[in-house]
Parts: sequence; structure tokens; C-alpha cells
Amino acid sequence: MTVGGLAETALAGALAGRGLDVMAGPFVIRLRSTLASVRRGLRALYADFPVIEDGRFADFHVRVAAAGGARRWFRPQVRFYVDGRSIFKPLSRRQAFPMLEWGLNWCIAGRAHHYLMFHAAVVARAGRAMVLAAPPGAGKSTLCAALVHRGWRLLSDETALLDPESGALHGMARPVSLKNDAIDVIRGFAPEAYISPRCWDTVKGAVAHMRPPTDSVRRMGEPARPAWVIFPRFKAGAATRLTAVEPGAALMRLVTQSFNYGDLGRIAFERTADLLEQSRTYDFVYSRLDDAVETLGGIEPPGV
Amino acid sequence: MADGGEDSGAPPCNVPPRRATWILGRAVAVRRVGASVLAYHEKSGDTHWLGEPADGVMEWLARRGPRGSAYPELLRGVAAPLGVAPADVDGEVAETLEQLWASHLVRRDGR
Repeated sequence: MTVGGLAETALAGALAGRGLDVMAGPFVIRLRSTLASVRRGLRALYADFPVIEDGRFADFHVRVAAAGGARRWFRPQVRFYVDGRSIFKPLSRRQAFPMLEWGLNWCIAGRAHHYLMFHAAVVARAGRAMVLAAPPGAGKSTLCAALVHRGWRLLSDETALLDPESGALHGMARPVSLKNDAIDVIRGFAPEAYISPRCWDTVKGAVAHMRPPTDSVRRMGEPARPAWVIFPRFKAGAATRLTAVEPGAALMRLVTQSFNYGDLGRIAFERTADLLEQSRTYDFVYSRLDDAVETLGGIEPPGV
Repeated sequence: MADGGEDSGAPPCNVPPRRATWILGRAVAVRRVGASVLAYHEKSGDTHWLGEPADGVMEWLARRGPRGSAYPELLRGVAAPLGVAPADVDGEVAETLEQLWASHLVRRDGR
């Protein structure tokens, strides 16, 4: 059963009751909410995600609920709860679904320490993964959204999950977060993509989410071997430029993008070194998505 | 090559010799990645980049020989992860170390 396959009453009942268990890659997320906007968001953006009904362990227990008191009516707000605790300042009720997504990102980054995690988008082709590592606003999600509509498989637009034992990258294929101008850029680039209505006035500006391709969701359990580490940067009007980065220097940059490098200690150092040894590493400046996708698609994997 | 070179007598890398010695002497893991050498300090959790000395530092060591004041210090720094006593650092050990560097891997546990 998938989220999209549930009848409206079943979806609403699960979300309002003990929770809807949704599998996203290696994680089971137990979701609860009585808000219609959250339900609509889940149905539209998580349509292909499996619903878990065997009562197995859920990694994250989360809830998005209307704030109480006067905020129920006056400039209504919502809160995000993890294990029953509200952990963020409340946001406008219009931001309920983005808040769920941001909250889930926080849960994964803060708790999934059985993975070495980097703030990076990851896409894959023929079993080889491309890590797009960059700080917020550099254009990695835009590039990721474009690539997954040109033959690449989505693993994540936000968090690279590196298995310390196997060295493979794991995916979740969750919705891609698009901001501001990137929303229309992707609408123009991939008219077939479903993109949620804009949510205005968030701390990140206008935000919308893109539904992950069905094939990526179906194959989210397939890990990929690292092959490329790219440091992308969108620069308006710039010519597409790919510049090799010395792998050791790339390691030092990648470390700054990790959520838990310091927590994992030596194994993180060893696995990051392995990742860079197995990968081709580049700085990448782009402005035109067509050129960007063509250039990245033309880089051979290591060993070719 | 900010601090190194023939004239200065320092190793031909981006890291000054005293700092390189300090980094290597405290590392629990040292890896060559591409043209760089990187070292990891367990206590602080810091990762240190030693510029691009993978070949250059070893060449520098061989060229300087025991005459250079930094040579024994640096060798001790490299030897420590292998559990080699400083007194045992001689030409033979240096050769062994060079081979290990060349194999891209030096670890405290000697694997």
C-alpha cells in the first residue's frame, strides 16, 4: 500500500489516530496530524511512498499540530513535535507542510548517526552516485531537481547518507525543496513535474516541494557507490564551468558540510577519505540548467 | 608551497615543518588522498590538511637526511603512529615509512 493508494478516510484516520507509518529509504516515519494542509501535502508529494502496516519500529515519531490558545484563531500557528516535544518556534499555519519537511530533516540530521551524513544532494545513474555538496542557497536542490528529470535517480536533495560499513550512499527520495526563483525555473525545465503550491513568507522566502519521480521512490532501497563529488554554485549569467578539485582539498570542504563527522570520530575520517579516493571531484559553476545537466552527464565515472 | 622550498630548508608543502610535525605526531590516522596528506586527531576530532606533500615531504626527508634539524622530529611524528620508538628511527625505518606513505596508508595500529 502507498500513501496515494489510501482512501481519504483511511489517510485522515491514520494521521489523526495512532499515526501513519511511511517508509522513506532506511527510515520509518510515524506521522500524526489533523491538519488538512499536511494531509494534502502528504497525498500529493508522498503518493508513491510505502505505508508500513506491520507495526515495526518507527525511527521518528513526529506530529504537526495547531498551536493552542489565541493562536488557534488569531494569526493561526502550527507546532512540530518529536516524541511529544515541541522543538521549534511555532510557524504560521500556512507553513504546516514545509515545517513537517524541515522537521524531518532535523530528525535525520540529529539522530541518524549510524550514517555519516553530509549536507548534500545525491543522485545516481547506473549504480554510481553523484554527491552535490554545497551550503544553502548554492543551487544544489535546483540542480538535483533538474538531474532527476533527465535520467538520474533521486537519493536525496538534502542529506547524503553514507554507510560507514559498506561505504555506499543510501537514499530516501523525499520531496525536493525548491525556493524562490528555482520554483519557476524547474516548472519551465520539467513541465511534467508536480510542484506543490508556493508557501510565501517563510524564513527561506517562497518555498515549494517537488514530488520525487516514481522510479526513484520505488528504488529508494538501492544504495549507490560514490563516483563524483561536485561542489555546485549557481551564478546568474555565468558560463557552465567544471574545474577539477584536488581530492584532499575536497575532503576538507566536504567535512565542513557534514552533520556528524565529529560525532563519529576516526571512522568518519576514514570513510570520507575512502569516498574522495573513489570519486572525481569538481567545482561546478552554472546558470543554464540544460548546459549543466549535459556537462554533469558527460563526466565519466572513475576508472573509465 | 607557501612555507617550503630549497631555500627555506622547510618541507615543500603548504604546512610549516613544526606544524607538520605537531600534526603528524598526534594523528591516530593519516591518509593520502589524491596528492594530499591528511591527518586525523582523535582527541579534538580535527582533520588536518598537510597541503600537497605526499611525495614532496618524503623527497624532502630523503634529501635532508639526518643533518636537518626537523628531520628526526618529522620522522618521529611519522613513526609514532606505527609505534616505532624514536631511537629506532634510522635509515631503515625511514625507508619502511616511505613505502607505507607510498601505499597511501599509515596508521597507528600498523595495519
